[in-house]
Amino acid sequence: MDDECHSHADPSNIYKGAEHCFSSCQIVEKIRHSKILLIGVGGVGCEVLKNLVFSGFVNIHLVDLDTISVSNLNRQFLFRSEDVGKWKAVVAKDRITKLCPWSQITVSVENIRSKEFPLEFFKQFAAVICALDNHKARLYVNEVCAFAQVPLFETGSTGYQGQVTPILAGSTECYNCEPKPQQTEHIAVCTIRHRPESVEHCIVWAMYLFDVLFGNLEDSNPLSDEKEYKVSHLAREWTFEDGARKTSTEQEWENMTCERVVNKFFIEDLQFVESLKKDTLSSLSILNIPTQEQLRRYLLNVDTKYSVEDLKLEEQNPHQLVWTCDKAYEVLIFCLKQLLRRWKESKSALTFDENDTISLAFVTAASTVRASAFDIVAKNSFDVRGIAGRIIPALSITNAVIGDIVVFQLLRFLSGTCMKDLCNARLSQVSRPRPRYLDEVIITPEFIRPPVAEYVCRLSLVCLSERLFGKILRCIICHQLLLVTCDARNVTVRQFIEDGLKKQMNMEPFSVATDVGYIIYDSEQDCEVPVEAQRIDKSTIAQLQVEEQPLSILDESGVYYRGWIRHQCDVSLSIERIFSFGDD
Amino acid sequence: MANSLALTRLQEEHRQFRKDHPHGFFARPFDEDGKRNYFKWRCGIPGKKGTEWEDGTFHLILEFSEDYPTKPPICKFDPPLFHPNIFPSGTVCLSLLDPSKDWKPSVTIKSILFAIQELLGSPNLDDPAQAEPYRLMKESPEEYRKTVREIVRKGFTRS
Repeated sequence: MDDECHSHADPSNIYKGAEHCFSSCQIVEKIRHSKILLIGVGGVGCEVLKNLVFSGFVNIHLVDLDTISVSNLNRQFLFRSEDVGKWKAVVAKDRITKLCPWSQITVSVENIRSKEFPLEFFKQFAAVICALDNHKARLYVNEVCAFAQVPLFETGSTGYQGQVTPILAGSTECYNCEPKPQQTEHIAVCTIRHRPESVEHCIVWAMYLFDVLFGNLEDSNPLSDEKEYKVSHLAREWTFEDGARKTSTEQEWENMTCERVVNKFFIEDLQFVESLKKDTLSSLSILNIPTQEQLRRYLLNVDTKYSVEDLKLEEQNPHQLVWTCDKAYEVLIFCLKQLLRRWKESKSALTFDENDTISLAFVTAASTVRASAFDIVAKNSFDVRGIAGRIIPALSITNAVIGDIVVFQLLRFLSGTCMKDLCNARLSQVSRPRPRYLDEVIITPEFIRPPVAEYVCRLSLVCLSERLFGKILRCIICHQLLLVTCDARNVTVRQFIEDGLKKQMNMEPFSVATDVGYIIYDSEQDCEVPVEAQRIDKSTIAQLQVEEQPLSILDESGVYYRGWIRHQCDVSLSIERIFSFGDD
Repeated sequence: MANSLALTRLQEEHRQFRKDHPHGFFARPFDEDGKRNYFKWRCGIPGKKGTEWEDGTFHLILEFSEDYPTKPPICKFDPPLFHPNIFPSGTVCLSLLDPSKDWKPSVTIKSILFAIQELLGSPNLDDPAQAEPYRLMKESPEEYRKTVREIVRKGFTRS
């Protein structure tokens, strides 16, 4: 990009072009004056931003809380290597402002779910473009836009696949209407601990082990009952009460700790598993468990045999051989020693990072030993990084096409097409019988007319929840939305329930909770939790900090509502139904 | 933000359980300092009549993830129990709680509690989780039952 030659560019050419395209100055004025919110300035976001300014949009607000990393540079073209570590939104704004000085871009380095962005914030935009990379944040944006009744363009891309979905809750299907595939696979505790069936199970186990030894041990960790093997715990065991070490040297402490950890997790546990196999299975594998003598020998020579540099070279090679069991044991001990030293220096918990050579080698070695114990084919450190880091491939070509389609759809919307008449675009790879080049890939967008909202809302989620308690669940986001407006500083939870939900809406609420599960109101709490009952009478909405976020409301009759308490100074409590498709 | 489907489902489970629940069982969102959260429940299971667990009430903590009901909750006895299919940490190992086996999103909290009550009296020796009770049950079922009865009598009966 040559900044100089563009810096004096004038937007008038763009508008002339647009006028010619739409043969109407009104639309051009609309483009010039519409405020657009772009959430996420990553792969798709960079493309969208470029397309927006070059289509004539002036007022654009960027929200992104991420910093630029080296791996972004191949496709997020607004960023350069000297920008690594800086905020994406800020750098993107600077680059674009230099290119198009007439643009008026504002930025927020903030999570979109933050209270910095109340409902009123969203209402100021003509449209929201969502270019996020995670399901949860997308769900949130989808719901806020539904409450604010702002048109949303939802985008996404992975590999050669991508999609653009125009959403206006109440008029089209919403992002939540169609169940999404599982993002992370759930693995049962027993599978991880005693019966891994795939190399992924072994890698997940190795990452849990890393947390047990060096990290913050959470209760959800399936190995949480092995607390006594925490390094901090083991360190205490070898220290007298007066602080003196029971062992004579640091070296000895390291060796003893390594020996204990390896003995427990890679010898005793596996032997226990072997003994179970003898009981339950007819065939048993011969496990290559090192003898105590071998183990001591490893402890002595790993420091000279391996180096961080060698392991780093290995992990960059996709064709590297899978480690043998012997090598895996050696690397494991080498990494344990390195991590122990690191832990001793920092005196605080370590976190697993797939980009750190030692952490990655530890998980690779531990998973290799475990995999071979269960007759599973192990993976090399290159592949383990991909699995452990859940790395999804991102392609600039897909992002570029998605970025084009979304701005094109936005222009169609501004030129008068209803949201429900815009098509959903789905991008996918198509195969050609006789490719011209060996590595030729063809991707085609497919435009699908979205089903009408009412129809979708009735059908969705049926397969996900089946027929729970004999009734079909509908999309809980765009089904029943209650927008509550009040002065959150004066209204108590009791008033919200009694004067609002009961009197104004004729409801009989069973419980009200925030999306993190915090129970604000429960119809029977007087007998269950007396402290809670008191809080409901006395605390205001603002004191409980439950305004400006989605609420889940269940009625005694079993009907669900989504609620949103919008704070406005000095107004009295009022509730409006945004839209409703009627009850069954 | 948690998955709103998980939350809505938990609210509905709460409503259904309060309307109608089997005798001796309880299940409700957990309270810590008077603040309750739908993703953590405290439940109680009575020992089944005619088994060595009879007369005891056993407390469980159910932890739900945002992916519930696609994923099952983690069920943990608090305090842990001496049982072949319960990990030393108290976590229950049961095919109904394994999404690759019998778990289905339609399984209710009530049916989880029933299944765990059943598991107490009839352990599954193909899937051991705790070494000591597993070995004892395998080598001497009589001794195992005696040990359990003793544990129940000492620590789990309401006197």
